[in-house]
Amino acid sequence: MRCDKARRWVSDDLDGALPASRKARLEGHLAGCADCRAYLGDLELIADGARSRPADDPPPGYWPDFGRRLERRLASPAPPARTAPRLGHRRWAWAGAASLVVVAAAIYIGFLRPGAEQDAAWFPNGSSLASILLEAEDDPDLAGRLDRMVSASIEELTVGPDEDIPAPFADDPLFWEGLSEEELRFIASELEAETDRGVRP
Amino acid sequence: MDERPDEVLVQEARQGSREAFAELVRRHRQKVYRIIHSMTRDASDTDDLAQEAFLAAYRSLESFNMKARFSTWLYRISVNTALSFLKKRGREKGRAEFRDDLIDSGSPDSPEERSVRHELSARIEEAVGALPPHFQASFRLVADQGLSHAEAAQMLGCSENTVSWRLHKARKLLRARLEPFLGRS
Repeated sequence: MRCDKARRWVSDDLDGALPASRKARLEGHLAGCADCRAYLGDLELIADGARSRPADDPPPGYWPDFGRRLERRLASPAPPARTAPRLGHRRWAWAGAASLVVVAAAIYIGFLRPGAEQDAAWFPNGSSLASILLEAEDDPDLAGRLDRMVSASIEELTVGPDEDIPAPFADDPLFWEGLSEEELRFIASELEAETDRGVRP
Repeated sequence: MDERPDEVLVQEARQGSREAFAELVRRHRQKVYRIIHSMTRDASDTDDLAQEAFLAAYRSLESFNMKARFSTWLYRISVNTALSFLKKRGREKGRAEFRDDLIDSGSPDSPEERSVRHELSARIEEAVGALPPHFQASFRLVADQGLSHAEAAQMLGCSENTVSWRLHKARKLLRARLEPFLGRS
């Protein structure tokens, strides 16, 4: 048995809540474990110390006065419950806080987020994409802005050439002229394999 | 002496009999006082809370479903009243955790000529009072009041296993904090 479990059982045993079957196992563990025996000794000291305090009874003559005061309070009407107003107050506080969060989020999305100005310039509030496209059919200006917006989005999503890398070597005629026949055949075969085109042997 | 069972008195009190409720108070006031005092350790606080507990019971008589004994229901109200007080007091004092400073504020062999046992008893009292409220309540009800785990569980509204676990943790905390005063080398 591990000491952790033994100490839990020691606590139960002090309260008279340890089943007999476990008690025998606990005693077996305690017989061979000096640390747990010391633990039990300490808990017994604490229990004795806790019980040595004076009794909890009130002073003589206390109860008649207690009864009179209680009777007076019972006779008076119950104060209005505080729970409902407090909950209501908190509900309004939470609602106010939530509104502030929504407003802050709207301000960020509408005006502060990068690119928001472009969106806000032509997206009518509450419109779906379908209604915007329909509107654009009758509004050349809106259609043009929509085209530019879509093109800008495509360009944004398309990975452009890395400007740090020099121009592709294939554009340099001297590169091709410098290759041997064997290297050219190798490049051709790789291209055919990659694109699945060309004449296979 | 009134021989009517609690359940009959409860029914009469529900119908407005203040005399029936007064009899219930007479029967259970001592136990209510002891439960609350064991948790607060202060006569003035106990007096206030005992009044509150009886008032709460009187105003909630309609919700008592008679499935448990009236005494169990009333003692549970008393424990909850005291627990709420302890939690509030803990918040006001800015502590809810076990405080080291209570233990470090003196040495076991103080200059005063108090007996070792009296010193230890005072230290234990301080240390138990600084336990988290639910641990404290479990310890007070079982170790002080002599309730069984089952009885304490009914009053605290939890399982016997929870009571057992809280007592185990409470004792571990107490032992760890009181080790310098337990007279072992």
